Amino acid sequence: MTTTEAPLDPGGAPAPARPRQAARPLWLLWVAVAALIVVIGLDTPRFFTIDNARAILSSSSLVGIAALGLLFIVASGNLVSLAIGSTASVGAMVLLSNLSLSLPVALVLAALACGLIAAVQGVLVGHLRANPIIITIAAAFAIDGAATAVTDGTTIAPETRAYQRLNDTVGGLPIGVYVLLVLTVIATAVIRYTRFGRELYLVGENRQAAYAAGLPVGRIITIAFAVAGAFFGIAGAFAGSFNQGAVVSTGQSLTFDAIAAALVGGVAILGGRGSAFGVLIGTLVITTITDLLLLRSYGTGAQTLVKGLLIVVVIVGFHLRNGRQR
Amino acid sequence: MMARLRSARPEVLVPAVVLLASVVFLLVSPVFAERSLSSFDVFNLMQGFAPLGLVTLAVGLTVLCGEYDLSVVSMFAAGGMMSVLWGEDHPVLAALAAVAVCLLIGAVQGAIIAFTGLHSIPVTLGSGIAIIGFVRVIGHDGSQSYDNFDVPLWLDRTLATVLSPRSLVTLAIIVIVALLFARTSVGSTLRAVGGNRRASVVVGVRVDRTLITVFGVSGALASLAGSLNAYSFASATADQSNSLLIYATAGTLLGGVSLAGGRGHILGLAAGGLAVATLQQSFLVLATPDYVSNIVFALLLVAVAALDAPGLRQMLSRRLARRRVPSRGAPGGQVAGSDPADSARVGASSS
Repeated sequence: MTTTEAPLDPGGAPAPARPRQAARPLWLLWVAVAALIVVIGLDTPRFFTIDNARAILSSSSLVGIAALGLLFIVASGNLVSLAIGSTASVGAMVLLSNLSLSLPVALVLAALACGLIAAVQGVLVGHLRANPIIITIAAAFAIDGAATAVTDGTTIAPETRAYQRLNDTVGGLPIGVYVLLVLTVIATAVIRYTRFGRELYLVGENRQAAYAAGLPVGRIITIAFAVAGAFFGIAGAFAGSFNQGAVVSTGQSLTFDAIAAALVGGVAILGGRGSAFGVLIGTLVITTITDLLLLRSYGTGAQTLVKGLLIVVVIVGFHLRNGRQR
Repeated sequence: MMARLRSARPEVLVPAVVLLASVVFLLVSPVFAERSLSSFDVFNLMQGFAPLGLVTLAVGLTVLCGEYDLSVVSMFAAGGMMSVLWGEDHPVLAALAAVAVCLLIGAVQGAIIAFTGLHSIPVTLGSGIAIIGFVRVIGHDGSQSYDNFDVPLWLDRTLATVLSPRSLVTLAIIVIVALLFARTSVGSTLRAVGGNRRASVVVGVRVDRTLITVFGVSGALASLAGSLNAYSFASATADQSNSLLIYATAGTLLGGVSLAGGRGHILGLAAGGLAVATLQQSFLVLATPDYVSNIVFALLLVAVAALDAPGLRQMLSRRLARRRVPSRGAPGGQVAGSDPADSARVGASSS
């Protein structure tokens, strides 16, 4: 993955070439986080049990699939999407209301619908270079409004029981975990071995260089958003199946969790760096922390507080290590 | 008159036209609603403007210096929750304490942004999430009610037919900030930091101090808006709705403040916020369902964000250039760096 390691200065005015700073030991942070989890875990009844490990893995699948999708947006240098939850809710609705066409068709429709919704945002961000945060906040608002209009604010009930397939367990683990692993492999292959993957990372690392190299930057970003949207839709499909129904707020908690998972997993917020495997690790860290706080009976407030602080620490830590300056 | 119009800069022209258009929209809305406008509609409009004006100012000040404070929604919630929890007996003291806390948190955000060189969007995204967590923790994961009903009655009583103490606070703060901009170097400092940060450093502008102050003030303004709002509703919640951020960002962009930074006026910001509040009131007159007005505001924000984006301008100028030169345009036209606004753009490349 040479493109991600190339010491190119991030976009912007031509800055004087600066020597790469020696990587500061960010792994100390990881060791600290891991040690903290182990120490607090030892003090928490039921944390180190097989059942709990299974619970952590199960809850990882939703967050992980959404975070993998987000990887494409972050890697393209467009910060994050704040429409993850809203898009996932649409995915859940599309799946549950098309089950009469068979589960695979409904799943594909959910992914396509969400991919299309995100692609529209991708056009605005990629071709017009509109601010991705503002576009995705506005998109979330519009999607929620449209979903409310279509559903009349009611819960979408599953058409048939075919969705139960997505809740099945194989070898003690839910299907979602296997889907997450397969998608991780696919994402890794796309990023490492396809032309699109390499171009995506160049756009994220240095947009000006990508323009200068004649890359179709707008199209690449649009595709990145479309892929991300499809992943959000699949994550939402699992969420809808798990809840056996879908409302506008079904995917809501995914937005912050997926952002935290991707950033903790080492995806550089300014783009151009990060791997699908890292996102997988980040997802496990976030779901383990959530699980630990739940076992110690902390509410959603404490969970949100910890995740937010972790995001700030990781962003600042990464930035200082990489010596990226504007 | 025409000459003056033509020479008017966008940061003056845009808010003036937008405010005028929204007022016209409000004036014609009763025709479709089969009722007439009353002074209460204007009062209610100003009640909506009370929090929105302050939050638009909070977002707008950061956008003026080339940043974008995403944490205003969280600060708004934090100000409301702290005031409701602490202010049973001493509402003013509690609101001031909440403002002080948010001023401090905002200043810390500003310091992180100033000293690391990170863009404000990722930083305020993370800290905004953390602050919402903090609000949920102190609010015990739910909404908290406020039992000192004298306070909402006092804050929302009618003054001069269309005003209330709450909207007067907002108007007073806007006047103070506008005077600061007009009479001191604050405005030019902010615009310098937003327009060209490197040049600002070279000519001796204290960029660090400016960013810390602006983010502190942004937090304080959003917190004050949240306090007054929570007192008015006699309750506070941590339920984070991004609607306020949508309205405030729309108000900022419609107020002629560009995301590229370095351009805009306080009165423009106020006009932008007032225009959004006027649109909200028009939708109330029309009895539009919430989801419809949400979609309209979302699309409005997408439209203004797209118009403000460097890509559209570049595309248009390329079209024009191609029309002038019939032969195929030089590939140089494709290079993004040709647009000076590009290097200062908020987000993406975060250059």
